[in-house]
Amino acid sequence: MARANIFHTRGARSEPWQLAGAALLVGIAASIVAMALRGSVHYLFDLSNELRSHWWGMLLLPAFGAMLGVFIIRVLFREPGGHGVPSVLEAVTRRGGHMRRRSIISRLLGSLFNVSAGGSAGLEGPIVYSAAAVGSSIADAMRMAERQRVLLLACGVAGGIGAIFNSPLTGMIFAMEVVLAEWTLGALLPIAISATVATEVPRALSLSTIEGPLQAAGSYIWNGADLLASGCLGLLAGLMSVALVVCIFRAEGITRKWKTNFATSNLGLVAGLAGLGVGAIGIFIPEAIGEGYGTIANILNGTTALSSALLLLLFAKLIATTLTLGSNAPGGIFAPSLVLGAILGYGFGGLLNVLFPAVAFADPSFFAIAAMAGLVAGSMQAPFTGIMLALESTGSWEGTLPLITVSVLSVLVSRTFLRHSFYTWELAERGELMRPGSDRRILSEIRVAELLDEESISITSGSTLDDLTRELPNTSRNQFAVVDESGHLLGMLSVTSLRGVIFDEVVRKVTSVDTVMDTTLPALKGESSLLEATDCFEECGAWVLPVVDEDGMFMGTLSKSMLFDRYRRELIVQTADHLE
Amino acid sequence: MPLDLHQAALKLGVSPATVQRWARQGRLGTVRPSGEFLFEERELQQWARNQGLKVRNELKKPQNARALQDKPLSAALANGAILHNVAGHTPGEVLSVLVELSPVTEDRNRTALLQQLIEREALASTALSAGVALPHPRAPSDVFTDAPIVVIAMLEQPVDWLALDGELVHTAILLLNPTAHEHLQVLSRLALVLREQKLVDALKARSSAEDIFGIIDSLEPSNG
Repeated sequence: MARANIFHTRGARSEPWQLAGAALLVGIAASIVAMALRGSVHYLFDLSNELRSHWWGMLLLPAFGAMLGVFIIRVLFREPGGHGVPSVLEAVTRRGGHMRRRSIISRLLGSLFNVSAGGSAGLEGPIVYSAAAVGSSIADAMRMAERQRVLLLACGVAGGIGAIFNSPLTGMIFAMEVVLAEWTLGALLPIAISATVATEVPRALSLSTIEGPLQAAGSYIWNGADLLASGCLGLLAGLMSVALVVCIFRAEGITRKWKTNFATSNLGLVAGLAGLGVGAIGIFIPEAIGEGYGTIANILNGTTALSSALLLLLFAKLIATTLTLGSNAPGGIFAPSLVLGAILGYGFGGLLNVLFPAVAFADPSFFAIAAMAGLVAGSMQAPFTGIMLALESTGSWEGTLPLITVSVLSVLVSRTFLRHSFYTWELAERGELMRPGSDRRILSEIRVAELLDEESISITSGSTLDDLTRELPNTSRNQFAVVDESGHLLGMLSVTSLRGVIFDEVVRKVTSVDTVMDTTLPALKGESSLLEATDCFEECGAWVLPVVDEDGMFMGTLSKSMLFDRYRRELIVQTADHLE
Repeated sequence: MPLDLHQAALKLGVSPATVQRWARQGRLGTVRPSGEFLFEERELQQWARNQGLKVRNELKKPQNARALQDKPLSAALANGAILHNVAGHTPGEVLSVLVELSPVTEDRNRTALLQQLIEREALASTALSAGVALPHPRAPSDVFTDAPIVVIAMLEQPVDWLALDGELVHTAILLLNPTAHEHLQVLSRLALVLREQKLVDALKARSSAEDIFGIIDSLEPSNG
């Protein structure tokens, strides 16, 4: 009996350690990125407080910041606008985790000015973007393959989120639930290392930002009535996240329309106009603008008054966020979701005490935390991320049940209305959201050129069917390409369609292949993906299609049977990780 | 109106058994208490779109409606003509007369057609054996005609068409087809009937147009 193979081969043994080492590096770098951005935003925000004390400063500052932010990203770095996370997902699903090195700082700078000037947006999106680019660049420097690069990119994301919130578990879960969308052991280990290191770096340096922005609350006591109330709050949080996502997307649509109507080459003008709106809101309700963690802190330590003004604040924050993010000013949705959640939950808790004075409900700030989890979960359609964030930030592990209730119901409501989350929407609309192991992903990764039939035969234009007949005994194929002298594809010939004439020696001699070739068949490009090829096959109903390079030179043929055969092999290879 | 299993299968381009399996797995449709499957058309469309499947709104049209001609050669001949005493001493002269006499509509470019026929002859002679030539443009095209046309021209005098067997050509048969597919169809029938000595003899004997058409029609097998 052969000895059982219980050990990995040497190569397979060292790979996890290499990844672990790289993840360590990525974690440190991601943490520095996160700390640098958070620190400089706070510095600039405090610096500009003087300006904000004047009404004109309050009005103009957000517009200035938004325009500067758009200018930096669009003109200076020539990158697409938006919140960044969709671009990270695109890198994961479409570009093998590749991100440009300059992406490390582009969005940091852009969002730095936008958010510190008062734009209602978060820094988490930009940090995720930068940290992902850090991971991708480190993978490139270590000459890693795409699979490892995607992993290190996710490590960067986990580190960034872990560092800003002082919550390693949240970072891990976010990277797996939102960015990778897969839960494999191979991915979990490096991501955990990165998140842990990234959370530890600011502690080791004993920075003032050790405390996550949410770590204000202590532990809470709750009972059955609170759980019931959490159910209602979950539904409300779900509706609120739907409103937030829909508002931002509608605004983005308007932005796009304005851009084409006014033919402005960059979006700075629209962002500036929207910034004026944000400034106007800030004059009356200063708590609604900016990153908003001050607003959250006030709510969590109970200094915010429980009054109907909360409702006004809720709407003001929603509109300010819509204006900032909908006009493509740089920034993320994470912080605004948390702020909206905090206001919603706090108000909800206050209302409960008014409506049911006889029942002893938990503190309103407890509901604020639960609703924060609910809004994060709902807008990202990522329940675990919401739950973990609330748990780690508050350290209130006794609150697990209400938090799960709120998050799960919120995602349920969100999924009732929205087919995609805030992050995946853009990609899904373009048909580019391709999760690992999915049909579209596999098809999109194989190029037509990989599947060429090497035996495919071409015949030169001007030849007769008689020439073709002499070729027939040498091949098992029955599709031939007709090419000109230099090899450009002119048309296709199928032996089946020639059945009626090929047995007549005389007719064969006077019939040129040009006359009887099929020129209606579309030609596939060698560089196209199988995704396009399968669409093409489906549309024209052919079994074999010719393949050409970018100059129209004939490369070979692709048949449906070959396609199926290779597709199956690819499926086995690409999904192997998931089965382990 | 709800669709039944077969209609849904047709729309999705899969077999009814597949649709049934999908429905049983709870992926689409509803099952009535009677066990009958029902599919709302709107829901089916939506579902297919979400899955990235294409929905067919009508049955695929046959690729070429004219491909279903019962007797393609006779039909093409009916579109064309059978001419006697076509003048000319060289293939070029014959072709220019032939193009003039061809029943292609007035708005088609006859000069371009003649040029293409001559170019094709320059490439290689279109003369078959037994004194018959098959002039045709190198590439089928709807520039000259929308439906297959066959013109049989019995020449005034035999012409040296550079035939491989060295025989002089007594009959030129002009083939005009909008597509390669139709060219092949007409050509294969022509090859079939020209193998019959009866037709070659009739052409040599300069029989009347009715007789020649009758012979071809009787020789050409019916698709039905």
